[in-house]
Amino acid sequence: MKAYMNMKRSAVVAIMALSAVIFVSGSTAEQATQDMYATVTINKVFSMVLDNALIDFGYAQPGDTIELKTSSYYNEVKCQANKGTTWHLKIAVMGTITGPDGNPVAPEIFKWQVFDSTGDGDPVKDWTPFSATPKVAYTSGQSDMAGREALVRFKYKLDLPKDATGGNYRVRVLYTMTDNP
Amino acid sequence: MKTKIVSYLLFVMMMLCVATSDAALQMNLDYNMLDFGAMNTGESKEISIKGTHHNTLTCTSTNNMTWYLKAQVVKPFSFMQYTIPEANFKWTVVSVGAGKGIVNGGVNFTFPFSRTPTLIYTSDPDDNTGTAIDISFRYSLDVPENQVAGNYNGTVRFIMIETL
Repeated sequence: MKAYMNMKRSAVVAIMALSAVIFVSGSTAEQATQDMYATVTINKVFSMVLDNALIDFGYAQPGDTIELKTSSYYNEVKCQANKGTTWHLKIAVMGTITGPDGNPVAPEIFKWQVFDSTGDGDPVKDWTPFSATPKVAYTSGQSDMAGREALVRFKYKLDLPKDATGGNYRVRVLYTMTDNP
Repeated sequence: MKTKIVSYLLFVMMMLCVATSDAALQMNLDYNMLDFGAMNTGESKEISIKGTHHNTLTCTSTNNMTWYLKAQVVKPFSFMQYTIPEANFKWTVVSVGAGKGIVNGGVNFTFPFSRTPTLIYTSDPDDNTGTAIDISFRYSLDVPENQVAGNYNGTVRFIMIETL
């Protein structure tokens, strides 16, 4: 009789426990879901704009050192790229520097430096002689290569040797934005 | 006694099976692709390929309980290690068909997606008795000025649920 009562009690407890489980599961909120798949292609940007292409030192006397805009920059190059890879801004002279007598002058008398930049890259801030081979003036930083516009500002200086002829000197400058180091 | 217990257990299990096999909340999305195409950095674009809207979620409940429609970004627009912030990806409810509930923020107002479920619609008691509620959407994307070029893809999840 006692065994029967124990079994009965156990059965009642089991039923109550099961009912509780069912009640809890039955009261759990239902939900339904649907997924939507979205795509977009972001176009590549790789552009450069020079704000002032004319570099004019005016009349230079033999032995003169002429620096354009001593306390500021002379021109700026606006660069923008979003390829996610490092880019470089390079600068070079095209052809030879020609003096008033028509004779070529060594390009080293003409120098450049980066005054400042708005990017997070690495500018060359030392006075650097021009050459016909493009030299790196600025290397992009992380934000620069992710699409942020970077302004690179240049200064220029002319050191005319004492044995040169006084007058106006001309040269073409080439700015290049490239992935190649 | 044993027979009664077994009978009761079988009855409860049958009822449980019936309850779980007949879902009272149903949701159907008529078009689950969203392609913004090619975009430039700094550009904004709105997509509604069906003219007034892009796609429609049809929600049906027979539970006689208030239900809520929510959305969350489960995968942000991603390309390699780059992502477009969720806040730049937005939804607009343009109509709710026969729905008498409340659109969170109002119809034709635009709100950003989020990684956490965001409330879009709260049902009215009239919506809970089997009426199909057609909630139509359009979507927009603002590409940041600083965004690496590439093919981005992401996933949005719509959730119909009875808890807020």
